[in-house]
Amino acid sequence: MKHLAKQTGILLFWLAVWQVVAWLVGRPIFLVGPLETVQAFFRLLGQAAFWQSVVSSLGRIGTGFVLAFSLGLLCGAGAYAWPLFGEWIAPVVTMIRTIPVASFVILALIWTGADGLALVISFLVVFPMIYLHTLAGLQAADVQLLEMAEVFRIRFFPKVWHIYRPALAPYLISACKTALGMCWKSGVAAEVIGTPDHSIGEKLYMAKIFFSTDELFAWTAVVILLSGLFERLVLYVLERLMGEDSRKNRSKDAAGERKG
Amino acid sequence: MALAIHDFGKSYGGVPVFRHVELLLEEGGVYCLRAPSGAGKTTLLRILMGLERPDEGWVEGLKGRQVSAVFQEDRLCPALNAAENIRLANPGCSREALHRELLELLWEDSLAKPISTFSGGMRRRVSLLRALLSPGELLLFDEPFNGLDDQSRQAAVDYVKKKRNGRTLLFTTHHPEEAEALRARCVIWVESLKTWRLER
Repeated sequence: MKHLAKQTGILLFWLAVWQVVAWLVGRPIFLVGPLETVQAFFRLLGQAAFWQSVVSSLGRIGTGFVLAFSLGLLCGAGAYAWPLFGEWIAPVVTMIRTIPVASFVILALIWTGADGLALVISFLVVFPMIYLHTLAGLQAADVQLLEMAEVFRIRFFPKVWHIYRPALAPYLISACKTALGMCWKSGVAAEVIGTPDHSIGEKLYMAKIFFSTDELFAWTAVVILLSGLFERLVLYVLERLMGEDSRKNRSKDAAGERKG
Repeated sequence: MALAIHDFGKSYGGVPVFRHVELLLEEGGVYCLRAPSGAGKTTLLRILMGLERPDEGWVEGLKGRQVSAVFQEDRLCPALNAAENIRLANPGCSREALHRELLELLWEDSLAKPISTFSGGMRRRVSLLRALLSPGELLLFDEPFNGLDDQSRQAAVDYVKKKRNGRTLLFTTHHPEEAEALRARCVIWVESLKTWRLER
């Protein structure tokens, strides 16, 4: 409770600083305060075009993320199981990681047009991260337990679930935390360059053209909000899938301690 | 079927650990490897477990047979409880039977807890239970009673006697009384020849 009060206090302090600076500047084109931003935000909420943009950007960036996550996981597992596959795919992964996102944006515009842009960019940003962390996580699996599994002839799925999954979980969750923020930032940046119809990027671009700084701020808040919600959702699902055992055992522990 | 080891040799980085090992382990026999550290006890067991290959020699009577092991380390999944760890190695074991067996070496209130909360001695007992309750026909135990106090060591030795069910057992130990308690024939180390042989 005390912690919450402190955090709220700090937040209110910086919001106040922002508002005071906005008043001192006195030019809404350069800087709008939190009040104007909130006003613009609620104005947007009432527009059908707002929801259309939110849904379409969320759909594209989210689809890119899910595809990259699935394929990254699959390829990472493949590279672990067959090192030759890992060596074969390594140049592609290195290429995706080193080529600047801006170059990919232009290429993607040429290849897929503006519509598929955010999906492609979000995919390209997320895939290498998930791939590399999956591979590293699987390689971190306990060799002693793997030998034990071999001697006792433990079957494939129990082995994956009880030996590989606990090793992979921290790697995959940390990769997701980074990748989720990155895919939203680069996905929206790509939309600003490509301005596909009915997208958040297009709206940001329009805000720039019409000098409506309050809408620029409001859309920025929308992106932060969406990215935060998407991150929470993905991490929730992932942690449930990956960390179920540890949670179950923690509660059992606590019960045991109370009894004893 | 007896287990016959012929002309086994193993070296690491050009330094021989053992060589020309000839051993015949009769079906259902209990054998104890006794030697100072560094004589390759663990290496010999690891070869029989199929985790390493000998540089020379071959073994008869092992092909197609499942092995059950107590490793030098406990090698249990830390997030799982004792029963879950054992069922991982032996999914066919019924819950009720397993519960009874667990109570032979552990206390009721420890059974729901994950292995990560267990003491060293408790973990040792779980890995011993896992090995004995698994269907392996050949039992290979690397210092199975290590880390147990006198009382639980006695209980563990008795449990091995009871649950071996006529299976061949080869184990390592530093304590002669463990070999005696299990009426094991000793396989001894001959330092001058760097080899193992059955004690007469």
